Amino acid sequence: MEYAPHIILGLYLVLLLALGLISMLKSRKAAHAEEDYYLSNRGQGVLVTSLTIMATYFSGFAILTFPGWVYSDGIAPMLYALNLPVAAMAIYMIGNRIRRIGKKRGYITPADMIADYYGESPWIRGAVALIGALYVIPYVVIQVKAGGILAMGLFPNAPPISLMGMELTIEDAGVGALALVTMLYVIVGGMRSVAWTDVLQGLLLLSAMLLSGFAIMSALGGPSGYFLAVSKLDGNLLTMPEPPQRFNVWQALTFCAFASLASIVQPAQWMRFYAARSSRILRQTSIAFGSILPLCFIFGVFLVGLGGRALYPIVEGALPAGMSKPDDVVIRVIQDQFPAMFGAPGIVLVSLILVAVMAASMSTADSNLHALSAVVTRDIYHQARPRSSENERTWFGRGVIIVATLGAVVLSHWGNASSLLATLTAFFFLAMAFSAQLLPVTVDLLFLRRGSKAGAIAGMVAGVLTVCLFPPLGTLMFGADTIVVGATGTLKTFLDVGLCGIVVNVLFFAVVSTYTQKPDASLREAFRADLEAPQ
Amino acid sequence: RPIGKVIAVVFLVALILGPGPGARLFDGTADQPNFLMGVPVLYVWVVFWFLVMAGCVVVAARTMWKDED
Repeated sequence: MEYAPHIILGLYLVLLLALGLISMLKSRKAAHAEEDYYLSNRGQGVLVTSLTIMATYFSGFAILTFPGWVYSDGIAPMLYALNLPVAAMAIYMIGNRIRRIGKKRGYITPADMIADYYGESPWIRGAVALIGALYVIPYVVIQVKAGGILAMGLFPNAPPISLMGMELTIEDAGVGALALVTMLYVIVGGMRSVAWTDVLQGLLLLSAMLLSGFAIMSALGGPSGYFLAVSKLDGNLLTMPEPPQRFNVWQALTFCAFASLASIVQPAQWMRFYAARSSRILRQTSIAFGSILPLCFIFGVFLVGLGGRALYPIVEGALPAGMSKPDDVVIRVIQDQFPAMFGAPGIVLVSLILVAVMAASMSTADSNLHALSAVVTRDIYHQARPRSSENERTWFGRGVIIVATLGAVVLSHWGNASSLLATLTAFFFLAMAFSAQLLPVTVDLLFLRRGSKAGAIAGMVAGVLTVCLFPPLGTLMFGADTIVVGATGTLKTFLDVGLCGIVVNVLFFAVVSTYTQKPDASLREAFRADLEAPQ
Repeated sequence: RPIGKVIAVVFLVALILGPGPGARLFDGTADQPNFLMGVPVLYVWVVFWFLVMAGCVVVAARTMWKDED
């Protein structure tokens, strides 16, 4: 049993590479190299679409940080799960329109669509690509680094490894191995292998979320014992906090309404809408996303956070032994409870869940690596070399994946020694707020069609600059004691940062659009017709 | 269709009441949290609004979105 983690991790990585190879063999028959590599030939079915959207939506955050919040702050953070039905609505209402027009006009990236409608220019394509990059790059680096931290959880007593004269810690080895495997299957299979591996990773993640909920219920003697233990917790953990404490109702409301939509218009999800085979697929995906995922939270990992607080109380502000931060609660519960509940198979289950947490990080990293490749290739390289062939662009895209992966590994290893990783982490915490700045142009293009190119550019730039004023990025740029950071810090305790950016974005978008030329009426009519034609 | 308007209204009410100010209506106080059959009311609140919102998604998918396609 002592080799269970090695065997399970080995099997998991081999399975990922096998899926990559199978998808590569399937891709060789494709007539359009670029569309196949980036969008799986726009032919993804309901199982793949549902699970790849779910796996991309959640990183290791879902199974570690979220229950960690419940452990430290009680039931209030659970309200954040109500962002999932909002995102589910958007998957169909926004996603299906993106899919329709994308299929009709052959789009691959978000900028393809936005630049085609408002009018091609380096400025609008650049603004959309910048917003995409501000979301994607921090996610890739942070998830690759998370893989290394999780490797330490799987092999806590492993000695350092010597490789080519260098001594690597288990964290370094974990970062290197997981990044290499991820890079390989993304390079060989493109969207198809990313989506297929997401199916495996998504199923692992959902099972782990529910299993850990079952473990804590059993540990506390079933539902009645569980809620009896919970009823003895501090009342602050069972009621809503007052503003400006974190997780207050205004934060929860604006997070559910806007962060959900921001996650849905990130480049990787946008490409998944393009890749869905039909409206029916996105309709069924919407149902699965809005019901299965919240179930796994509300009756799974959330129960671990709350029950964990009863099982491992915080005494005088100090975390219990074996926990260095609240995020450790799920790992602590399964490591303590599974062997006691299931005996020897429990040890295997612990390894399986740790691999599932790793899968959650990898499934986010691979989707964002793939999306970054598309954004750099389509929105920068193709604009610089308009006569490049599809094959050339696809190979260039693979090169982008190699460079981005190596960059992420280097940053994970040496970033701690400089301020670069801290800066990137600051961007990571605001990534969803940056992504939200695509919402006004997306809604205008899909539903309203009243904005102009200059308005769209002004809105996006103003929105991004507004988000930069908020901590932790604002603190890095201006210092903690400045008036600006004081004001945005206070605002952040009441409202989602993405919403604050959107308000400024919409204001600039509307005012500038009033005084500048809108797209030609015939183009607007053609877009409306393409969006509403059933296909 | 009329069903679309009903879904839109119910969903928006659920979004505003669920994670919004409504969450403080029945949770009690830190000194005396409220319970419903032994379960904290705030947890029941989360489950209830999840069921309402997920129900809206399912009904929309099986009625108005189906018609669109």
